[in-house]
Amino acid sequence: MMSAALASYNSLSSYDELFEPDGQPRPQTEAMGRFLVRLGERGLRRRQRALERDTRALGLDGQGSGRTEFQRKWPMDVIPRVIPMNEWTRIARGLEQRLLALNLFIDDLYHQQMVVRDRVFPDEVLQSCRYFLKPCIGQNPRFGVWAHIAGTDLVRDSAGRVFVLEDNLRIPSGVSSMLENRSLTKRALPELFDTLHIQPVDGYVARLLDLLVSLAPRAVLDPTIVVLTPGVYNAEYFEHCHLAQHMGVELVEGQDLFVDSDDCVYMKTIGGLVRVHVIYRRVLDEFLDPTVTNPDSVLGCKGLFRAWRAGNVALVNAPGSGVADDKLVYSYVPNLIRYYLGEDPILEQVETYRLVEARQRKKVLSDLRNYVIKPVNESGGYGVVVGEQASDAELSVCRRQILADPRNYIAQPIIELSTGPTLCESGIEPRHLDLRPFVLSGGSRYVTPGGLTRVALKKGSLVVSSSHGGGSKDTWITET
Amino acid sequence: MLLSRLAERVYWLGRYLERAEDLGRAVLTHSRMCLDMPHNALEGFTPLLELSNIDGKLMRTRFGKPAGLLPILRVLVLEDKQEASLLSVVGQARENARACRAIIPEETWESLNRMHLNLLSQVARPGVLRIERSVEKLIVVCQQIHTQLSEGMSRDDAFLFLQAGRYIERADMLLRITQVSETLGSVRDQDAPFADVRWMGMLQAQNAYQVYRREYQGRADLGSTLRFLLSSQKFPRSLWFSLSELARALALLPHGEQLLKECEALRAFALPRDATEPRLYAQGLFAGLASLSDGLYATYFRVAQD
Repeated sequence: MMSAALASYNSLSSYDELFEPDGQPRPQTEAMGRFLVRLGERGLRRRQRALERDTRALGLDGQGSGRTEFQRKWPMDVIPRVIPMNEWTRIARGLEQRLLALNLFIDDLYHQQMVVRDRVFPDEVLQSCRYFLKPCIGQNPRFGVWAHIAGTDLVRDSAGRVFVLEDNLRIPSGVSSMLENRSLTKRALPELFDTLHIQPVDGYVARLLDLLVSLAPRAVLDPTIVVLTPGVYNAEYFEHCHLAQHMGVELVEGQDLFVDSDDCVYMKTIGGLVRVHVIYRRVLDEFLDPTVTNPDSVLGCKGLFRAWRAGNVALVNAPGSGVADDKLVYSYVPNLIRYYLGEDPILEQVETYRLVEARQRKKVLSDLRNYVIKPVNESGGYGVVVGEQASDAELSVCRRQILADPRNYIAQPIIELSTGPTLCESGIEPRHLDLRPFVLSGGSRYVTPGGLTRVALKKGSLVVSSSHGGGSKDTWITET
Repeated sequence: MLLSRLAERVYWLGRYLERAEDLGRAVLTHSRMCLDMPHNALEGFTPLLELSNIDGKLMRTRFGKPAGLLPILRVLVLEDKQEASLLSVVGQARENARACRAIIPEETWESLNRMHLNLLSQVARPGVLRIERSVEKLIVVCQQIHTQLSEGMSRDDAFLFLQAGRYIERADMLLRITQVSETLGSVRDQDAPFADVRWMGMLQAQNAYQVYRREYQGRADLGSTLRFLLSSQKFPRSLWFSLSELARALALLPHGEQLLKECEALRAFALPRDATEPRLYAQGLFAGLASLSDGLYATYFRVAQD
C-alpha cells in the first residue's frame, strides 16, 4: 500500500536513491523505503519538528546560540540517505585507491618528478599550478603522505553510477556536520537503528586523533597536538572547536604559537612555552607562514615553515598538498592511478575538458550551454557556471574569461545528480544530492562509513553547497 | 595547559560580566532614586555618570537643563559609542565569551547572546519603562550565568581566571562607587537634602541594603556605610570579601605565590583603620588593585613575545 504522500513522489529524469521510478522502494534500501511509506508525511513532519527542536537545544541552528551569525545556516532534512553496504565497500576501496595514488603523486612532484619525466603529467601544468609550492621540494613528511585528510565529493548520475567530482585535499570541512547529523537522527528515528544495522560514524574523531599522534616527529612519546584555526570569524570555527574539544586538544590561533631559534614550535600558555609536535591546521597554505607566503597574513605564525622543514613539527595536511587539488590536475587522476599503482581506477570520475588545450576548448566554446564551467582553484561552488541555467550575459562573460585565461578553467558535462526524498513545504519531494566522505591517510587509511550528504533544497537546483542554499542529510551505510 | 590568550579572554569575560551586573544595579537604583528627588534627574545620576567617565557638563549641554530620565538612561544603557554603557559592556563580555567558547558552557554563550540581542532591540524604540525592564532582566541573566559557570565549568585554571576577573572587577567597581560618592560634597553633609536617600541608594546599588541593616541599626551615614562596604567580613560583595575570593583563586594558580602575597597584604590593608586618611586609604587600595592586575599580565597573559 502506498500512502498518498509517496504515491505522488516522482523523481522524473534523475536516479532516486530510495525509490524506483514507479514509486516502489528500491530492493536494496527497501526497509527504509517502507518505513517512510508507513510513517507518511504527517509522521515525518513530527519527526522533523522534533529534530529541529533538538537542533536548537544543541545550539546547532545558527540562531544566536551555538553557531554565531558568522556560521552559515545548515538546515538538516530528517530523511536519511541510505547506501547499501555492498555498494559502499566498493566506493570505499575506490577512495582508498585514489588517495593512495594522489599522495604518491604529490610526493613524486616534490622529489624526482618521475611522472613528468615519463610524460604522464605535463610539466606546463605543473609549473602553472598555483598550489605547487617550491619551498616544499625535497620534504619528507611521515609515511610519504601529504594529504592526510581528504573530503572527496561524490555524485551519482541518472543511470545510478557513482563518480568522483572533486578531491578537496587542502582543508576540507563538513565532518562535524556529519557527526551532528548522526546524533540528531538517532534521536529522531530511533526505531530504525534497531532494525537496520547502520554503520556508526562516531569513530572518526578517535581515528583522526590516532592519525595525528602517528604523525609526530620520531622519538616523541607523548606528542602535543593542536588544531590551528583562523579564528572565531571563520565560517568553520564551530567545526574547529568541535574537533579540538572532542579530541581533547588545544584550539589555537596563529598568535598563540611561537617558533623559537631552535626551529621548534611552542604555544604560549599560562605556565610558559609548551612545545607543539603536530598541528592540524585549518588555515590555508597561503596564510600559514607570513615569512614564506602572504607577508600580510596574521592568521599563521612566523617560522612555521622553517620548523616543518626541520622536521620538528608535523603540519596536517602538509603544505603544498593543494597541488593535486587543482581541477586541471583532476583530469589526469585516472592516468595517475594507472601510473603509480598499475591498477585501473575503481571509481569513475566526471569527464573533464581541459580548456587550455585548443581542440577541447573549441569544442566546449561552441556549445557552452551543455557544460558546467569551473575555475580550477576554487571550492564551495564559487565561480561555477552551469551552462543551461546561465543567462546570455553570464555566458558571454564566461566565454571571455576562458579565452583570457584558459588554464584557469575546466569544463564538465552537466550531470543530472541523483535525488533523495526530502521533506519540503509542499510535501515529500525529490531533491538533488551529493556525498562527501572523509578519507584519513597515514600509516594506514580510513574512510568514514558514508559521509556528509549535501542536498540542494531548491527545487531542481544542482548546487548543493551551503553557500548556495544547500542543506544536509544523515548518511546511512546499512548491512544488506 | 591553558593558553595565555584564553586565560586573558576568560579573565575579561569575568570582569565584563561583573561590570554589567554592577552597572545594571547602579542604573536601576539611581533611576528609582530619581523619583524621590525634585525634577532634576541629572543631579541624581551625577555619581554614576562620573563613575562611567561620562562628562556631566557635556550631558547638560547635550540635553539641556533639566535633563530628563530617558536621555540619561539611553546614554548609560543603550549608547554603543559610549564605552561604559551597558550595551558596550555586554558586547565586550560577548566578544570575550566568543573567543573562549571552547571552555565555557554552551548555555552561557546562548544567554549572553540573547542578553545582547535584547539590549540591541531596545535601541530603536527606547522608553524608560522598557529600558528598566531590560536592565532588570539583565541582572537576572547575569546571575543565571554565574550559576551556569560555577555549575558547568570544570574547576581548572580557566575557572580560576574567571573568578580572578570577577573579583578584581567587583573590588574595582566598589572602590570607584564609594570614591565617587564620597567626593561629592553635597553627599558628605549629613544634613544636605536627600542625603539619606543617596546613602540608601549606594547600599542598594551594591545589593547591600538588607545585609547592612542586619549589622547596623539607625541612620545610614558616611562612615558606617563605607566601613561596611569596604571591610565587612560577612557581606559577600565587600572589598575585603572580594579580595579573599581573589586570594583563593591565586592560591590555586601555578606560579601565583607572589601575587597571592600582594593580594593578602591588600586585604589586610582594607580592614578598618580609623586613623588612615580616607583619601590615602582609597589611593592605596586603587594602587594595590592595579598592581594585582599588572601582575596577572606579567605572570600569565604576556608569555613570550616574538
